[in-house]
Amino acid sequence: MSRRTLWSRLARRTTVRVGALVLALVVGAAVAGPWVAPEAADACLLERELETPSLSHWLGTDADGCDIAGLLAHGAGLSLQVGLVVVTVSAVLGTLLGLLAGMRGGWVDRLLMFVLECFQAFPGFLVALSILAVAPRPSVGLVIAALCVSGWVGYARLVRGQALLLRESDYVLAARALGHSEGHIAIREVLPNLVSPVIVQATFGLAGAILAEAGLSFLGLGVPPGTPSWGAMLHQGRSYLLVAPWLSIVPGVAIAATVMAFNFLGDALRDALDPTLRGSGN
Amino acid sequence: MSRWLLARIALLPLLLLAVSAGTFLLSELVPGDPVDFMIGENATSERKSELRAAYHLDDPLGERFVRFYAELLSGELRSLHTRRPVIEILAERLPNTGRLALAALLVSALVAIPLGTLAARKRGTWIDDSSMLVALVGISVPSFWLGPMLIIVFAIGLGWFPVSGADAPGSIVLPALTLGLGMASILTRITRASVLETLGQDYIRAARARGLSERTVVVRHALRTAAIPIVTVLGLQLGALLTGTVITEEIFAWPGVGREIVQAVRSRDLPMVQGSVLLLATIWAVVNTLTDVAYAILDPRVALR
Repeated sequence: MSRRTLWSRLARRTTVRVGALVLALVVGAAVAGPWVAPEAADACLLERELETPSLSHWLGTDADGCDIAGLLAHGAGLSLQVGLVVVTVSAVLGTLLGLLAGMRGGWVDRLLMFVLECFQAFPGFLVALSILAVAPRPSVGLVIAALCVSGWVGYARLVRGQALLLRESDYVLAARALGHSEGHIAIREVLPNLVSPVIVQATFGLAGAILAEAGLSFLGLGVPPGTPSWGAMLHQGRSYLLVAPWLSIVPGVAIAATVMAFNFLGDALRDALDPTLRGSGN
Repeated sequence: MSRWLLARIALLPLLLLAVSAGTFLLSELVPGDPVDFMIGENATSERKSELRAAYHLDDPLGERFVRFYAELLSGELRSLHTRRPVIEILAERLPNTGRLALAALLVSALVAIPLGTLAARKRGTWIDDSSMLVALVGISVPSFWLGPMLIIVFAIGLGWFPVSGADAPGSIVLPALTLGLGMASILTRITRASVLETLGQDYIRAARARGLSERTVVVRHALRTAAIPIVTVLGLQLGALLTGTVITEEIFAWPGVGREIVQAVRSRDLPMVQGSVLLLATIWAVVNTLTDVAYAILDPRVALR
């Protein structure tokens, strides 16, 4: 499918337009946040704690007297940063290992499959939680690393399965007959055909990574205290459900909208890139 | 087929060994002294060496690994704080987690199967579109937000259910909804796809040609076949549920394994973390294996792949 057909197919869907709009807002907030609300992270005034939404603080203030709109913008940057790094590292690592196992086969494949099974025996969120549990001190880098530890597994499994199929396809046989090396075939012939499913998985992966970071920070075990994060905002909001419900509502809406936007895009991309599903999308 | 099944089942003990080794190595992979981790960096050096001796931390890795297993299997792995055997604490907590997981599973099946079937029957209409939209939105709403929102509305606002705990009647409702509704979204999509596929089959057309009512066709014939993937997903979800309980139990102060993990992590109780993670990972591995086996029995093509 040409790039233009793909874009026009995507742009026709309402969910894609809504998702793109939400993501544009989130990226805009993340980029503009540090300029528009530079005080959010640093200058919080205790005397204006738990103010209801007003003209000067249009989403209100939190228990430390910080402007919630500012925190939200800073949190957007953190969510996107965690999501992008986790997905990039996981997708690259998983794709390379999956490609190696699928193309090589034999003991390399069997070994990787066993390692995959072992990693899959630990639920990803629990792995991240356990790593953070024994870490000397929390940091954003550690949260990212903890999420990458099991993040690559899904990509490796996907790519291995696809590579196993493509390895036997006619054009790969043709490339082999032309005398190309296995490495050349893997990188130049097979890999380009794996990009679509990996992109679809990565789009859902962004949603997953953002949710996982927020979940860990919600439990108070993610980013260090004082780091503006949507999950950490929800963590604080829990103590004020009765007196200041907006502390919980606002970051929750931000997380849900962002995750939904990535899910909308992932769904549309999968329908557009997978011919077997074509026509069943809304 | 039987060879594949045997291999799959034989893998389980190996997996469990790897899982427990992974849990043990948790404490090894981390930079720094586990004693600092337990009592803080500022403790006196006598107290530190006392603890090092008590926990055999200066012994070689292999020896400690064997001891970890011995303690684990004999039930002597103890919580750092309460000094109670980990296995005893977990045995108290697990039934609560199981009860919550089953209630959530029930919620998700009650929502998803009718909604997914309806969407499939009304394919292409606004009913189909809106149920799929609801499902997509449902996947995106995190449990750690849904939970507090349900508390605001149904516990604080309407006063229908207790805010937290497990003692009062009806206390399971909000946690089960929190956990079950997210899962219902995934299940609705699977149900829709599965019913759609079944409705296109010849035997369904034959049932219609025999003059059976649409209701009988869908409920008695289509749904029965469509149930195979639905049941598989339900099985897989049971594993996912067990980890989902970590956050939900924490929100509602539900006395289960998940809450125990979070508290152990907060109080830096390493044996308790290791024991609970090992328990959940074991359940997860067993459920995954059983689901694979069940699926292979239902659909022999799986084993041939």
